[in-house]
Amino acid sequence: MSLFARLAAAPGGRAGLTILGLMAFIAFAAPALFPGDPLRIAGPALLPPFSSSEFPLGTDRLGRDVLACLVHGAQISLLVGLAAAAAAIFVGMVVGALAGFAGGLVEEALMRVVETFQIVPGFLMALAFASVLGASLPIIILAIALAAWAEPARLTRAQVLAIREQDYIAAARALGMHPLEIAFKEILPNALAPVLALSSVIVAGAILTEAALSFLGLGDPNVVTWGSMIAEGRNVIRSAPFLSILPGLALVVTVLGVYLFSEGLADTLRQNGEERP
Amino acid sequence: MSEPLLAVSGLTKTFRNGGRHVLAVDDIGFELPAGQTLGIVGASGSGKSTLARLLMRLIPADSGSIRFHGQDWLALSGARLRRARADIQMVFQDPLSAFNPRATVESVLNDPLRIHEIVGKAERPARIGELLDKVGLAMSLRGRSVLALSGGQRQRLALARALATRPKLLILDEAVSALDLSIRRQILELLVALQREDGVSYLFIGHDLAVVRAIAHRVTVMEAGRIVESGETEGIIARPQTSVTKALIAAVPQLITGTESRPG
Ligand SMILES: Nc1ncnc2c1ncn2[C@@H]1O[C@H](COP(=O)(O)OP(=O)(O)OP(=O)(O)O)[C@@H](O)[C@H]1O
Ligand SMILES: [Mg+2]
Repeated sequence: MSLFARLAAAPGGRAGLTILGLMAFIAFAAPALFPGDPLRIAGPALLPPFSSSEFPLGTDRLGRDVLACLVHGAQISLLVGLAAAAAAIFVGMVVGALAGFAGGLVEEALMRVVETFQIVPGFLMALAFASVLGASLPIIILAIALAAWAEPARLTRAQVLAIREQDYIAAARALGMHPLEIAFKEILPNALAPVLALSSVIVAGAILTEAALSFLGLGDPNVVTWGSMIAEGRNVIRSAPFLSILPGLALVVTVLGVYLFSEGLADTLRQNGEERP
Repeated sequence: MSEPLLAVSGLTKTFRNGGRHVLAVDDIGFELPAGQTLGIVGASGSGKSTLARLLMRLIPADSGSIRFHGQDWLALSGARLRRARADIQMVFQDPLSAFNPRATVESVLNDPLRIHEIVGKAERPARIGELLDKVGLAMSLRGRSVLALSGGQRQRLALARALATRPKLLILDEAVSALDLSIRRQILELLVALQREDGVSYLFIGHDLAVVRAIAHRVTVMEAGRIVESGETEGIIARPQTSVTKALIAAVPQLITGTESRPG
C-alpha cells in the first residue's frame, strides 16, 4: 500500500488530510472564489451571519465580507506557516548538521548561538524583530523562522552525534567508504527523519505566531489575516462576537488539521519501517 | 620463515570517561601467520572487541605497533588507508546495529563491491547472488530491508559483506554466537573451506571455547585487557595454566569429553 493510502486509512490521518486538503483548496481558490480586494467595503456594516445570501457569514464594522476575508486569510496563514516552518527547519538542519560533523570549536560556537536563540522566548523574538524591521510578509516569515530554528538545530546535532557512534557507521568506515559518502548517505538520512517529524509542531506554531503578530497589529497591513480579523472584531466584541469567533475557529481547525496530519504521518512512517517487505 | 601476515606488539588503549579510566587493551602482542586462525577468548569486558576495533583502525591506539602484510598498518591514512581496508574486514559482534536501518540486503552487499571496484557494475548482481549463496541466504531476500531479517540471517549477511572484498584477514567478533547449531556448523565449515582455498587468515573472537576449538589453530586468552595465556588450541585446552582459562573450559561441558574439533 502506498504511504498516502495508508495515511488516509488511519482515522486521525484521514481527518488531518481532509482538513488540510480543504484549507489548501480554499487558499488556492481564494482569488477565484472571491475576486478583488477582500478588504474593500462590500455592503452594510455589522450584518450578522446567516441573515443575507450575499454575505453568508455577515459583514464587519466597516461592511467588509467576512467570508471573503476568512478565505483570503487562509491563504496568508498557510503561506506564512509553511514558509516560516520550511525556513526554520532548513536552517536548523544545516546548522545542527554542521555542528555535529565539525565538532570542536565550530560546534561549541554554533551551539552557543543556538542556545541563545532557545533561551529567548520565540514569540518575543519574533515580536521584537517584526517591530524593528517593520511589517511585511517576508519580514514576518523571517521573524517567525528566527524564533523557531533552534529546536531543529539542537535535535539534528543530537541525532548526528548519536548515529555517528553506531556500529553501522563503523562498518561503513571499515569498508573504506569515503567520509563524505558516510555523512550524506549513512548519517544524514537517518538523522533527519526525527527532525522532519518535528515539522508539524513548527508549522502549527508558525501559524499561531503569525496570527498573534497580526493580532498585535504587527502584521502586513495590506493583507487580511485571521489574526488581524480577531483584533478588528475585538472592538465590537460585545455586540458582534462572531467577528472574533469565526477567524478563531478557522485557526483552531487549521492547527488541529496540521497536528492530526503529522501524527498520522509519523505513525504511518513508523509502521513503514517495521513492515517494509 | 617468512614474515607473518599480522604482527602486533605493545598495543594499548585506555578509554577516558570523565574522570574514570578504563585500560581496555593493555600491552597486547601476538603474531598471525597467513592462512591460519587465531582464537581470542576471554570473559565479557576483557577487551576483545576493543582489540578488534584497534586492528580495524576504527579507534586510535594509545601506543604499540601493528604490521600487516609487510607494511606499518598504523602509518596508513586517508585514501591509502581506505583502499587498504579491503584487505582487513570484520564481522561486528552485534548483528542488529551493524547495518544501516535503511539498507536492503542487496545494497549492503553492493557497497563493498562498488567502493573497491571488485567487479564491474554489470557483474555486481551476479556477484551479490554468489555471496548470498556462499553464506546460505536465499536469493528471495535480495530486496528485503535488513530490519526484516532474523538475527541469524543478519549475521550471515554481515559475513557475506565482509567476504565481498576478498580480505586477507577476517576478524570475526562473536560471529557465530547468534546462529543455531546446524547453521553454526555450516558457517564454520564454510570458513574452514575458504581458508583452505584462498588462504584467508581469521582472528576468531569468542567466549565459547568449544566453538573456538572448532576453527582456531592457536588461541590467546585475555583478561582485563592483558594476554594471560596463549598457545596451540589443543594444548591450552588439555593443560590450562591459569584460573581464567580453567573457568572458560569449565563453562563448556562438552570440551571435557572432546566432541568437536577442527574439521579438515
Ligand atoms: N567506547 C568506550 N568507551 C568507554 N569504555 C569502553 C568503550 N568500549 C569499551 N569500553 C570498556 O572497555 C572494556 C573492554 O570492552 P570490550 O567491548 O572490548 O570487551 P569484550 O571483551 O568485547 O566484551 P564482550 O565479550 O562482552 O563483548 C570494558 O570495560 C568496556 O566497558
Ligand atoms: Mg565484545
